[in-house]
Amino acid sequence: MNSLFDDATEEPTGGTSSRKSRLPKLGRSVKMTGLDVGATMIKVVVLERRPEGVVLREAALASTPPGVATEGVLTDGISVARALKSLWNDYSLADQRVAVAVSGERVFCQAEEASESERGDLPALARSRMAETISYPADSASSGYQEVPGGFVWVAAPAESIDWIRETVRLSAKTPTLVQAQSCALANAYSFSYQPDAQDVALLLHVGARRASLVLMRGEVPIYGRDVVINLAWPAAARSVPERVIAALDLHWDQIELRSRPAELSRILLSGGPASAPELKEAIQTRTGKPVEELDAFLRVSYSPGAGPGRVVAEHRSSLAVAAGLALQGLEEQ
Amino acid sequence: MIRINLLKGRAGSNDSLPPALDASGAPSRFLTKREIVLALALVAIGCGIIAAQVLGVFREPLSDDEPLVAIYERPAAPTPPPAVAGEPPAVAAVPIVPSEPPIAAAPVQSETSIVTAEPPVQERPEREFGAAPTHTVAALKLVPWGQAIEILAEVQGQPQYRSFWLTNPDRLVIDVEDAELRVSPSELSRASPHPLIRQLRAAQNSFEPARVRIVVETVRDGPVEITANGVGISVKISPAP
Repeated sequence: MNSLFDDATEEPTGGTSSRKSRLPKLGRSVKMTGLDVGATMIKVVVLERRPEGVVLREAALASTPPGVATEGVLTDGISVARALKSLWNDYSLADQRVAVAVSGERVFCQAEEASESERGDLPALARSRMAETISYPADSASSGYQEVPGGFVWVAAPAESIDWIRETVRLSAKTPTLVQAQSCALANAYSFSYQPDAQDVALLLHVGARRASLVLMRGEVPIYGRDVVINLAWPAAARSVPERVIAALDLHWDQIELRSRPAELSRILLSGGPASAPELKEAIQTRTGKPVEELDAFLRVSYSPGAGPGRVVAEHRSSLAVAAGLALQGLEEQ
Repeated sequence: MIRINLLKGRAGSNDSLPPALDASGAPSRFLTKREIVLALALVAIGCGIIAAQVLGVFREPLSDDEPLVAIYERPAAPTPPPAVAGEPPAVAAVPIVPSEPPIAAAPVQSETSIVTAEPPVQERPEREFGAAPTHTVAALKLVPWGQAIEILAEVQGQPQYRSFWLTNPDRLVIDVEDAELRVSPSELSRASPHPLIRQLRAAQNSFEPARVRIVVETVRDGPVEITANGVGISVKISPAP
C-alpha cells in the first residue's frame, strides 16, 4: 500500500506492500482480530492462519452502548472503548493486534483505469483522481492506493475518522494495526471466499442499521464502492427496510451498470444484519432482475458449526462479513 | 486482496501516543537514546554498589578482640516440659499398623513427628532430572467402614511412601515418592468428610524430587492402618476402642 501524501516512502512500482514476499510464512501460525464497530452491534472475528488454511478462533457480537452516536456518527469513544474492553474480557481475547473498519458517506473505495503512460506517475494520478471525487479537502484525508491489473484502486477516509477509531481501540488496550474502509473489507471477504474469475462482476451489498455499503466487484477488484445512509434520508416510519435499501440502490444503479460494462452484473451478494430476511432478497431481486444470495465470508474458513464460535458464525454469518474481511487482510499482512 | 492500510496513509501527524506495536506488528521504540543512557548509568551505579559491598569497601574494620572466624554452634534442642500427672503427653505415638513387613524407619521430617512403623522405603532408582514421575496419584476416595473410614489414594504402580505425624493440629502425613498429583481440584481439599477426619487435603509437595503429600487432619486416639497394594495406598482410620 502507498500513501498519497508521502512520496518519499513510495516504492518504484507503486504497488502493494512487499511484506508478504519478504516474510516466510511456511509453518507460521498467526492470528488476527477483525473488529467492526457498528451503530447497533460490535462484531469481532478472530482468525488464525495455519499451514493447512485459515481457521476460525473466535466470533462474538455485543451491543454498541446506547447514546454513543451523534447524528448517526459514533462519537463517544470512551463508552465504545469500555464496551470493547468488556468484550475482550468476556471472550478472553488476548491478541493485541486488531484490524478495524471505517465507514460513512465520506469513505471512498474506488478503482480507476490508467494507461501505461499514466502509470509512470501513479501517486500524482491517484491523488488527483481522489481529489476529484471526495467531498472534503484531500489534505485532511487518510488515503492509499494499490495497483491492480489495468489501473489502481484508491481508498480515502477523513483523517478524523481514522484518529477516532484508532484512539478508541487503543483505549480498549488493543493496538490497531490496520484500518480499512468497510467496503474494501467486504471486497476482501468476497475475494477470499469466492475467488471469482477476473471478468465476473458482482455487487456486494452490506446493509447496516444506518448505512448500506455498495461494492461493485470485477473479479477481485472493487471498481466502485460507496456507503449510503438508509435511515436518515427518509422518515423511517414511512418506509420499510427493503424500500430504503432499494432507494439507496437506485441512487447508484446507473453508476453500477455503467461500470459493470462490458460485462453484465452476474449476482448480488447480501450481507449485514437484515441480509437473511427473505423479503429483502425478494425486493432486490424483483427490482434489479439479478439473482440475490447471502454473502458467506467463511466459505474457506475452517470451523465447527456445532459449537462455540462456529455456532455464532452459523447464526450471524451475514453480520460478521466485514469483521471477517478485516481479519483476512490482517492475516495477509503478517 | 486489497492491502491498503489507512493507518499508513494518515495525512496529518498528530500521533501523540506511540503505539505498543507499530503498523507492521513489530514492537515500537518506547525509549529515547537519553532514556537508554540514563538506564545504563543507573545499572552501572547499582553494580558498583553491589561490587563494593562484596569486596568489603564499606565494611567497618574489625576490632582487635573480634575473632576472625565465626564459629556457629547448633543450638541445643529445647527440653520438653515435665509431664503433668493425669494429662497425656503433648505428642503421643499412635500405632500405625502396616500390612507389609516393616523396614528401617525413614528419616523424620518434623521435630514432632512420630513414626512408629513405616512401609518399605526402598532405594529409589535414579531418575533423570526433569523426567516424568513414575507414579500418578489419580484419585482420593473415601470408603466408610462402619464407624471407621478408609482413605484410598489411587496410585498407579507400586508407590514408595512414608508416613508420619505432625501436631498442632494433629495430622497424619503420607508422602508418596516419585509421584505426580493428577487429582481433580474438587478432591484436593475436603473439609470434615467424616467425623474422624477434620480435613483432608493433597498437594504436589515438590517436583524435584517428585513427591505428593496427603495430609489427614484427624484425632490420634484410634488405630491407623496404612497399606499399599496394586490399587494404591489405603489409610484406614478407626475410632478409639
